[in-house]
Amino acid sequence: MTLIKEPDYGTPAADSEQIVELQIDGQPVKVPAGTSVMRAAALAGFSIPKLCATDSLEAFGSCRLCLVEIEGGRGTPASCTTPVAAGMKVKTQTPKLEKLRRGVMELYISDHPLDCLTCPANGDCELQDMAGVVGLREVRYGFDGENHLDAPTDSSNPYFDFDESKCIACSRCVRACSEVQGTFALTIAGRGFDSKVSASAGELFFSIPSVFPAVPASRPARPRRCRKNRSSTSVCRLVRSSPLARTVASAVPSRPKCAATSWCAWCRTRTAGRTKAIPA
Amino acid sequence: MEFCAEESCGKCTPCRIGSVRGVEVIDKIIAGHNRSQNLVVLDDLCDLMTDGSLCAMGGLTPMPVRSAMKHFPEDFQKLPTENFSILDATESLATEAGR
Ligand code: SF4
Ligand code: SF4
Ligand code: FES
Repeated sequence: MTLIKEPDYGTPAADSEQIVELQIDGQPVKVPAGTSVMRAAALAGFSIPKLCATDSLEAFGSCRLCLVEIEGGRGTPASCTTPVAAGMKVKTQTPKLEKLRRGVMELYISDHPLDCLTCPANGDCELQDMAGVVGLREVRYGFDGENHLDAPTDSSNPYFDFDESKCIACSRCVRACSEVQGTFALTIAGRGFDSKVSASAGELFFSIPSVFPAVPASRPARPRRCRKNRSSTSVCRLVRSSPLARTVASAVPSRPKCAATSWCAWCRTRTAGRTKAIPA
Repeated sequence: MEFCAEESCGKCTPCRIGSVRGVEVIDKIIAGHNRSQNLVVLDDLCDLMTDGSLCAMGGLTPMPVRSAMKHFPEDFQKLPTENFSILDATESLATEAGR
């Protein structure tokens, strides 16, 4: 089941009356002040590769896939966290950037299960898309280095399994939980290579009632309203159950309404096939 | 690299995963596995960490690595004592000579 693809501008719209003009890959672009370079580029029709950014969450700047070059500027800043400035000249595609982006993907894939063919997200996965976009052909580090491939799957929640081996630690779920939902139940535990998504003090996800309300097996899940977008009814607040889901028994997140990402462990693509029957 | 792997906060990819891979690649170079190819990989990784990291932790980690590669290149070419594979070593020497 593929979700309807909706445009994702990477970062939220800036609300400012002041208009800034800049150049992106030679094309003049006008956007409100405070807009990120990534969003300005997306509005102008350029798509800069990204993984950690999504327009329902504030920019975070962790994946480092969206690097760009700015004329006269130092280094290669992340376009999601860089606001536009008048007269800025941005380059989104250069051989140097291509190499850096490929390098980032090479690192990601060196610690990712190679089971695309059997993965429920196959064909609808941002990680897969980005690997293609940056032209990743080989992983020169090999696959025998330190990794998370054997990380356990947390199946304690009735709506989804959290497959840690597939998590790329982008923190979108953590940010969705705090920024959109205001629940602050998720965090990244550990540091460096040991960073992992964790629900409060390392407990299993289902044992956190405030995030995933326990649903008696005999009752349908009570639809919940998302604070930011009132039209969303999320079953477990982060994962929305569609009317179809009730009958077909899988939970589907709705990206623009609920900030849970379209490919992460929290949502359908990562977990489908392993999404569970919603107790009805 | 080991220091960086130890100290990395884990927010950004080049430093979180890169430092761990950096340790591994250097280990392979020391052990003489595919040396010339791995030196290229290490060089690319240094570029990536320098230009791609979010903060100076990952951004400056390649500095000592780079300076070792620049000023003590012979240390990266030494015949490994353990896990020595004559095939790998001759291969890397041959490629090196061919460059
Ligand atoms: S679970 Fe998904 S959204 Fe959360 S950090 Fe991992 S990959 Fe990102
Ligand atoms: S470079 Fe800085 S921000 Fe990135 S993981 Fe390392 S310590 Fe964290
Ligand atoms: S999208 Fe900008 S750093 Fe991830």
